[in-house]
Amino acid sequence: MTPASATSSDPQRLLQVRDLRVHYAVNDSLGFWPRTRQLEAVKGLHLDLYAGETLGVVGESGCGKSSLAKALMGLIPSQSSQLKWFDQDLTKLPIQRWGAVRRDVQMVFQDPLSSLDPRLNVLKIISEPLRTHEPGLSAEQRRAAVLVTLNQVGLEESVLYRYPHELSGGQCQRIGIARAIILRPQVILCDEPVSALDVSIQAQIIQLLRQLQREMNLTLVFISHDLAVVKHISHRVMVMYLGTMMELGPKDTLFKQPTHPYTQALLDAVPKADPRKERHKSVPLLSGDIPSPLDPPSGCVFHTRCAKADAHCAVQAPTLQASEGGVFACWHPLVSP
Amino acid sequence: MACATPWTRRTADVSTEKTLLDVNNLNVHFQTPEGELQAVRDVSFCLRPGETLGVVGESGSGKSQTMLAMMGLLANNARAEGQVLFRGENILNVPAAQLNRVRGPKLAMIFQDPMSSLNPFLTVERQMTEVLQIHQNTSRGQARAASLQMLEKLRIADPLRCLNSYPHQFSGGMRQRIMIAMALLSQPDVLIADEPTTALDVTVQAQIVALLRQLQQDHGTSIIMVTHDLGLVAGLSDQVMVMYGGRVMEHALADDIFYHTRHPYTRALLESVPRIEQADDALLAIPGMPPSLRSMPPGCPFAPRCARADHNCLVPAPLSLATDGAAAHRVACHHTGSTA
Amino acid sequence: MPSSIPAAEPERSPWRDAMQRFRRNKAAVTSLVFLILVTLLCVIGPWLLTHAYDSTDWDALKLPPSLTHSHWWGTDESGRDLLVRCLVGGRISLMVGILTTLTSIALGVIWGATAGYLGGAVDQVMMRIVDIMYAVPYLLIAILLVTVLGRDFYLVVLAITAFSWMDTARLVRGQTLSLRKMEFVEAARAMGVSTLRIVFEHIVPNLMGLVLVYATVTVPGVILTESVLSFLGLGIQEPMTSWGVLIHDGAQMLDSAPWLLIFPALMLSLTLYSFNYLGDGLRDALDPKDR
Repeated sequence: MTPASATSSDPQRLLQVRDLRVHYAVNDSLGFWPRTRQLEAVKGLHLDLYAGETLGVVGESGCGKSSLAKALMGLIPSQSSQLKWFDQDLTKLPIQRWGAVRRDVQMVFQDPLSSLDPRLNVLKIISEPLRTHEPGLSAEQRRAAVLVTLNQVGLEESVLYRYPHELSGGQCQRIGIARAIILRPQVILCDEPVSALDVSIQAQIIQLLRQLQREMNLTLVFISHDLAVVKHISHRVMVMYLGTMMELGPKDTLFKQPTHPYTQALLDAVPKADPRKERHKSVPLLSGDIPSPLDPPSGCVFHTRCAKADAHCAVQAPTLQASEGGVFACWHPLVSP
Repeated sequence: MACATPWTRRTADVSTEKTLLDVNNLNVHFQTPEGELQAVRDVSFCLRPGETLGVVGESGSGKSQTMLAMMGLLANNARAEGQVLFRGENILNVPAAQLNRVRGPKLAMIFQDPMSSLNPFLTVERQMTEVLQIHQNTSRGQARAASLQMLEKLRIADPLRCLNSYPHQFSGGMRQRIMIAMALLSQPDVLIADEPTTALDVTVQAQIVALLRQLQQDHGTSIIMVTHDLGLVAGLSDQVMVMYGGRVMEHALADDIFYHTRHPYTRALLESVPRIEQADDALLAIPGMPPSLRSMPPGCPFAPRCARADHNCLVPAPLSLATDGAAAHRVACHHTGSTA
Repeated sequence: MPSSIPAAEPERSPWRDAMQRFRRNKAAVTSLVFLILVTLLCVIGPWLLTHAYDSTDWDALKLPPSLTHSHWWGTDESGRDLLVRCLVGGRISLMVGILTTLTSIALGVIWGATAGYLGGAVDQVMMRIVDIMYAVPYLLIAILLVTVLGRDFYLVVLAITAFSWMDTARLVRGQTLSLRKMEFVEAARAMGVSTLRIVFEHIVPNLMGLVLVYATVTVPGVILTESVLSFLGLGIQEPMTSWGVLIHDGAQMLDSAPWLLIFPALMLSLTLYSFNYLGDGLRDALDPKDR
């Protein structure tokens, strides 16, 4: 099943994922008795990514969004019935042979300071992808390429020989982005790129990403727990909960009229900077805490906290159904498809 | 000093007009190998019973240091000056014995990371009853009963099992609730919450906020909510104080801060943070970055990033009442005028 | 919009920061100066002094130390000048110490980084080998080696290396495990950097600070081990000497010529103390929490 594409001329499908599963073995020993349990971080996810779009992935802790990103990059092992990057089926290939993907799919990480090697200066950090994938370049050529990317991310030449700890969070994140774009990739996966930054800097980085997307015709996958940020940057949004996709759809539809009760609950929970509205807010709050991913609920993973859940929801996980421009997984959607 | 902000109560409770907490000209300095740095400059505010003050600021704004100074929890190389009056009695720079009569039982604080505030080696019961046994000399049995009652009031599931468990067995949201329970055991007059929900998921955050609101209604506790999230203070606060670079930029009633913003920083913040309720996608990013304590610009700390800055801003504007005489709306800016 | 930094600040690499912090630590700097002095004395001293370390002065047998005659630190029962022997012995002890440390650190780093980064079965096997080495009674093996193969300088180095690399390996493995989880290592993997390059360009440089500290603390241990071997009569061969040998011989003359024990023991202890203070100073200087 394919989510409907937004443009009239079918854009190229860059990524096709069917039934993606990610497991972790977790050490759950009791005293001396060794015991490992399987943590299903991602349970059977289906996803398509189209050229030029920004796909926002949003969810709370334990939803598996970071695991999803790492699995798509091939950083962690995963199982799937299909994992095709640029029409190349990588399901059977061991991660070490994903070489081609490494050039065209890059990643920007959450913590700007720890994603940069503290012992390397900015020039060495940004040029590392060049040294790895284009060993034929001379030092002069590398330096020139780095200067071009520095300019693109809004940094001056003076940072070239500085070290990460001398720079601010925002500057470090720009360097992380420069490192990601220097090979002119097609796709950039951003894993919570602004969450560790000051609020007054977040807008700068978000704008930078949007600008780069326009200039370089990038496709972005933007992962965040912050719904407002996701809303600003995405074309389509996917909502995850405990490793399962709850809803996927065009941004405007999803935020104005969500189909899934969990999406509605998320939107209700976000505090709005409007005192009068907030004070008189009387939305039902989700009860309880997020269940542990080690012990997920049966059937629909959300049923333990859902106001609309019934006995059927506890027994059987919902199948994916098409909504307007997207898909959702719910037995009792808010909007009938 | 009389409170500058008029008081609005949202509940029907009537309480005395006497201020609970009076902070006057609080300054905090740090001794570092690079010299003396000032983290907090001339902060003044007051708090009445049952009132909520939201303190908004980014990193380096001095908001947390202000609270730590009030609680006497500053680092060894820090020095606080000024006046912090609790019910008229100064608690700043007083000996520990005197401070401990207020700190804890009357003035409680909860922090961002509950895991580092809870002792991983003691059960929840031990940690909660300890508070009561030391401060109020209650017996172990009575303290246990009181703890149980508090957990039930906070609607914590299975409170008995909770008491016998260890902190690491709980989720972040649960631990934060336990922290709140511990802080509220001695029925403090003021609860200071320093970024209590920053590390929590948004649905859990909404629960904690609702909980705090409920507690305020039930007990009349005053709350100081320190956060970087303007949305969080919108629904919870009566008055809001915006800090930047160690100074107060704007201080007014919540409605005035949001609907009649006067300070360029507050306005810039409101316009640059993505908001879910905004219809369009326009974000106005603030150029530059928050100042580091080591290289604080002379004059107004926000001037380097402010669109309205001019040569006047080399001298910081004092925090004064807004020029059009609007009720108790204090702004520290030379170029104020309603920017709403 | 361009984002610039104040131009006035000079480039501050992590090493430069650490050197600055190190310079502020008086004890550490003093120790470093002392060690450099001792090394220079041991290397150059014997050339400048009038007596050779193995020449006997028949007129001055068992002479107590005094500045009035040419044997400032006295002589031993064979009439050999103690000062020159201490310096020459220092050469040997320091050489053994530094050479052994270098080889054992090199081996330990490669072992530990490989085990830590590769993880899994490789890690298990490699660390079990380390455990086995710990279980072996090193002194007995060292004694066996030396007795069977003779008392050669390089053999002593080898024997001591064989039993000092495990500490480093364990330490490096632990650090590697935590470094492996850091985001910049993950970023390198995401970029497609090969495992070998990640280990040598990202992991090892970030270990070096800790390894350096560890090295300065290993040297005294090695010198001490060499001294123990010499004390047991299994170290350097006569007439070459080391501090251990001198202490061994001096202990036997304690009643009649205590200076024969005091001077070499003093040199050894001061040197060991200095290495320890140096190590402490380096560790404090390189502590990233200070940033």
